[in-house]
Amino acid sequence: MRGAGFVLDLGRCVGCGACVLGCRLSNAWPAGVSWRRIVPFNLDRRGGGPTYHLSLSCHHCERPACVNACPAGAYTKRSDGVVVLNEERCIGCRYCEMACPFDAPSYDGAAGVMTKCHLCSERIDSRLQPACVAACPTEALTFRGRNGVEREKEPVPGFSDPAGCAPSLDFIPPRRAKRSHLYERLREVLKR
Amino acid sequence: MTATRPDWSRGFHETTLVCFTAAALSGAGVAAARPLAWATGLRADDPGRGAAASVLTLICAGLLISIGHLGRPSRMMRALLRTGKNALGTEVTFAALTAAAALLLVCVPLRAAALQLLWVLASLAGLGLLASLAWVYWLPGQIAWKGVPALSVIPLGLLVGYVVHTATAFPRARPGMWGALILAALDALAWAARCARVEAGAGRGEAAHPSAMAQRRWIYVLRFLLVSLPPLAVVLFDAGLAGLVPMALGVIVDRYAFYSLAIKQTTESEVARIESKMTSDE
Repeated sequence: MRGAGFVLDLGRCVGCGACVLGCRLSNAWPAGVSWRRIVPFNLDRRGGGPTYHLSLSCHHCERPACVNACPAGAYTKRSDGVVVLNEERCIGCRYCEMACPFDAPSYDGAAGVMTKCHLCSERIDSRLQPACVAACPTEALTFRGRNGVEREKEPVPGFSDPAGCAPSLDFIPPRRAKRSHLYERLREVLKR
Repeated sequence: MTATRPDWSRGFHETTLVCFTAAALSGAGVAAARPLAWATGLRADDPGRGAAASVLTLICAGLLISIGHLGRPSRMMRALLRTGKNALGTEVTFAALTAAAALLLVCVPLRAAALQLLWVLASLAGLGLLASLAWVYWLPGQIAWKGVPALSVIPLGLLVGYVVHTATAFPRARPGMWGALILAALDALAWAARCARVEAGAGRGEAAHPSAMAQRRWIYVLRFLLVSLPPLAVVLFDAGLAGLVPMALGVIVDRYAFYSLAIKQTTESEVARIESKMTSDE
């Protein structure tokens, strides 16, 4: 049984950053804090465009390193799998920042506490989509509810799980001929 | 708007952690090394009140300094009430136990047998603190910390403790030099393993502090000189307390090296690694 999370279609994401903006506007990020980011692949090397973009935030892992690490019990994993941080409990020790291999918790220096994506839990409780998903113009980023369709886990170049946290983020590989060709070539290179 | 994450490496924000772990590992090491010192010649009837006072001072100072690291120190009690429930909580629990045993050793006049028993208990608590200091940093995504680098606090703490016992014991009651030499060799091996891990990880992950990483060879040498040579001065040339000064600096350099040469495996570093691999393959 899997918890809620995101699904990213690598063939559809164009790296426009609307998800980042949607999250920022909806959640009013404090200065210097980022809950979502886009990691472009091959942007520098291939002038014709990147092979794909990874739109990343907290992955609401099955075995979250932040929950296990927090000495103040500020993190909880809800029954639907969403990992939420209660900022009122956070002591600002930044240990979760060291423990999370995905750099999801972000330190708000002004408030002295950590902050992170809560999967717009209030919105999903009201049966709305998370702000980032609602903002995505190409429907590349989608929300997968608890017990949503489970996809076969295929390794995605550039995305690894070094801490065995089992992130609740599924990827759909690119399907269009040019992009899928580049993607497959990349995977071949990595197998060597 | 393709926002990147904030640069988590900007600025060295671990100064208080450097001071806390340097004090805690030294205090824990003094407590934990007592039975080793007995085994190599320290007279058991030496009450070691000076050593116990150093344990108490170092651990209490370390805990007080660690509060400075918290963004919200006013909520510290929340973490203290959950001691023992995770790695950081276990660290605080063992620190409190070690300090409590040291306080009794300093304040309560005890017979020799009770004193020895209390030192054994303090030693076990000190070992627990050293082990929990290692456990806290056994983080899979941290390439330069997981494994031997995290465990390296144990030989370092024991070495510091052994040298403190050697420097503070009465001349006739001193432990033998072999203990210090063996611990210094173990510590040097652990340090070499840490340096090798940093070198291997430099191209695989994201450096927490790139400017320190650029100067890492100086840090390697400085740490070796300050930690590995003073024990020899204390045990071979009877340098006494004067030999502890460079060693204390060495422990601080060791802790600075630990945090400043941290390397984290991130998605960004993984992408960079693959792109570089593709470039080299073409």
